[in-house]
Amino acid sequence: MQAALQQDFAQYHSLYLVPQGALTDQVIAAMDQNGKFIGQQDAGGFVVREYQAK
Amino acid sequence: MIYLWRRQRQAAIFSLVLLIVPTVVIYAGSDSACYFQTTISDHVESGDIDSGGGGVYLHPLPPLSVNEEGESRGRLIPLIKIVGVVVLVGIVGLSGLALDEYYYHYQKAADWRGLNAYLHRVTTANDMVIITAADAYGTAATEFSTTTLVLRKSWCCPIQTTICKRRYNRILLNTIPYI
Repeated sequence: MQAALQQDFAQYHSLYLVPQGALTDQVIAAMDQNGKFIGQQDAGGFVVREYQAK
Repeated sequence: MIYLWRRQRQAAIFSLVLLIVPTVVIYAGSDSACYFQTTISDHVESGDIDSGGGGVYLHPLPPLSVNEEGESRGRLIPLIKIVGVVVLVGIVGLSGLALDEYYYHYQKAADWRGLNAYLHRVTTANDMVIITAADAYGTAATEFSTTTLVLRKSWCCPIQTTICKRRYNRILLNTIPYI
């Protein structure tokens, strides 16, 4: 998981996370640990969190 | 007017139809019923009623006779009323279903289109979007799966172990990441 996440952070400029569902907590924890949280916006009732590489 | 002010064009049109259609049906039904009813002018033309001399009075004889045409009209009137009631009940029922759908389902449904528009506005081809909800591939979010509303799928890779990614023109949608 760490390797896949770091690879995506290296490959993409920004990662936008829309946390919803059963996997929300695990994904947010992994993103917070491996990336830099930029900010979050509300869109259509959804929360969109933006991350970039550290 | 409120719908138009809130730029809900479809709701405005639907409400307008709900107002116009029953009115037209009621008007048409009542107009047809009156058409088949015997009016006093019919009796004047047929000679049953004498309107001469400034007064209108009925001849004592003969009594008003009902011909075959009148009988068929008499049978049509209840039929028209029944059809009108059935149509009105149908319209009211459909209106109830539409209101139920709007207030108990649509209002609580997630606004995938709003999310879709926002993501398409802020993301570039070098970004990835992670949506952990399985609905992103389901019927609740057709914008992300099959339609060409905003995101147009260019290719879709098969599921790699437990990670599923879909490449669109501008973003990479990843629904089950890093698990």
